[in-house]
Amino acid sequence: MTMIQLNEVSKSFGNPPTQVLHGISNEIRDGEFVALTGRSGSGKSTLLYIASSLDAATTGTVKIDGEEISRMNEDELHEFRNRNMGFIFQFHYLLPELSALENVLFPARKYRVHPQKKDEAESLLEDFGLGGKLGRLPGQLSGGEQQRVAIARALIMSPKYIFADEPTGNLDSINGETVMRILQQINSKKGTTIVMVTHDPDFAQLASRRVHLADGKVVSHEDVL
Amino acid sequence: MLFLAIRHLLSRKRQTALTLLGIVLGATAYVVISGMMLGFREFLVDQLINNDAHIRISAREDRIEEHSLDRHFFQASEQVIWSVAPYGRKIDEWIENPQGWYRRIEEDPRVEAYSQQVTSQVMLRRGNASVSGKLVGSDPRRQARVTNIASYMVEGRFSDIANGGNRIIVGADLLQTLGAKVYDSVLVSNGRDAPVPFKIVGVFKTGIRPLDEGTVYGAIADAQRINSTPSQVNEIAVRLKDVSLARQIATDWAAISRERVQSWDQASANFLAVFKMQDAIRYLMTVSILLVAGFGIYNILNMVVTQKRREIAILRSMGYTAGDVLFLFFIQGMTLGALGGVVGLGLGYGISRFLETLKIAGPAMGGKGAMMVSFNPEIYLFAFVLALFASAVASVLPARVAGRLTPIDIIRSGE
Repeated sequence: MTMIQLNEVSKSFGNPPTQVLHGISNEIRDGEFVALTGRSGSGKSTLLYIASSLDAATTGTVKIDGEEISRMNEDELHEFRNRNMGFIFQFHYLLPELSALENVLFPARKYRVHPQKKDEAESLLEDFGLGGKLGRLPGQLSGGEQQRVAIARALIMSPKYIFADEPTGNLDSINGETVMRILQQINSKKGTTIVMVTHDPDFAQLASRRVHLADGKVVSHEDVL
Repeated sequence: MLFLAIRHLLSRKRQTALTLLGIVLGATAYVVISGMMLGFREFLVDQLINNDAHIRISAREDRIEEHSLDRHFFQASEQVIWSVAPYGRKIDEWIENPQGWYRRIEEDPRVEAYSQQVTSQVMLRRGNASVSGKLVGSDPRRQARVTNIASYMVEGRFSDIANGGNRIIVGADLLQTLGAKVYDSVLVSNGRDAPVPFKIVGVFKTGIRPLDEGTVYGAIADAQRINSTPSQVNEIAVRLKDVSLARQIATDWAAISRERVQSWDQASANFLAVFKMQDAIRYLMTVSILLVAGFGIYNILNMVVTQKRREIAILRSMGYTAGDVLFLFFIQGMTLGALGGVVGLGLGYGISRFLETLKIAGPAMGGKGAMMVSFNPEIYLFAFVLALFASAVASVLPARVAGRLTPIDIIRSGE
């Protein structure tokens, strides 16, 4: 079943406009783990943000669960993002004033469901090897630990989709592998659809499908598994 | 969002404390300065209202203009051109129809009491000391109902002026200038006739120097005798049930009579105008202080918004709206404003209480010897609203900037 549908998506920036994406059409199916690969400037991150509703296409349409996101109003879009999408960035973007547990629960605060999600948040952090560090501030955690907290935060609302932009880009190889293993587990055990941008061919190999971009165009699709 | 806002504030304690200090100082300054100014003002207004009549009806004084006398010498149809135009002041020394006034006043339900008076300038002499003063002749029972002069008696009773003839009560400062004591005799003269001996039977002290050093109270019959004008009066002092109606009633009465009718505030218009100037200075000073405090909030929030761009991006990607982000920063400014306001009010109250205990000698302080400070709740309410308003204005701009940031702009800028 098709969950995210990109239809002739183009994106240009600046004046005079520079075209970054050229009429990309693609489908991401339920439960897929898709790696977007390509060189710097190939448009993979831009494609990720357009597919995830954070950015708007200049032309073309994006449908998620059959609904065109450009037609959703602001409130619908924010609620949809909160309940259905989790984001993991290259940098963890944790709120430095909040503890690991509070950071994980912060998306749940938006609709005041954090008390109900507390056990789940603790369990997630425990699963990620942070059971003894729930009350620590981000500054008291290592880079790998911070990224694992960010992943737990992305998962707390049990989203259908995880969008990850270079989630291992700031990590050493061991922490990078840990993060990838977690993403694989989320995908295989919970059936969460993951769209991940990565430079690393080894990590891209762990995805179920690779979409390779060059100069704003999809140049190859490759089913890995 | 309030949860995160409070964490933000607590995470930068020094900045928060400094910003708070600005607001506290602003609110404190307003409370203390206003308390002092209004305290003194309330005292003065109270003195004006209670020590004098609410409305004073007095014999008319007219300026003589070029054509004021035309009708007295020529027919109405004649065109008059004076080679030397008449000028000067026409004084009706006495109220023309006092009985008519008494009837009108007695029938008016808004009037509490009235007292007819004869006032005149006199010279008081004792030995070599001589002092000019205003002799107010009245019926002491009526006068005591119109003003609260009886409560300012420090020696004797106000009603004593009616017990027998030629008795007066003088201000404490006047007594001192004359070098006299109670029950001494002084000579009172109107400047035209021979001096008449009067016995001092009491002393009052209002705390208002012009009154205490220049006023003498006597029985109305004695004052009429001094002026050789039996049964005539030149002033009627009126006390109203509601002092706030004084100006309106005075204006109404003035429109239907020849006499000069003035309310207490019309009579003291120049004096009260000074208060407006005081207000302007007070507001200007407080606004300046709060402006500085507001700039403190603005600068800090602006800096925080710049520092927190990454966090704003992640909040927006989590589903928090632009309004949520605006609220996050706006509420920080408002929290500082509210907290600073409350602490400022408390501090201002404490300082005001302390100032009240300071012994400051001098007649300007109402004779109580201590600083007069107002604790009018309006001062405190206004200070708090002012602190909140300054905070709101100062925080809304950076908060709006934060609310307008989109996650993709922040991510794209590579921060």
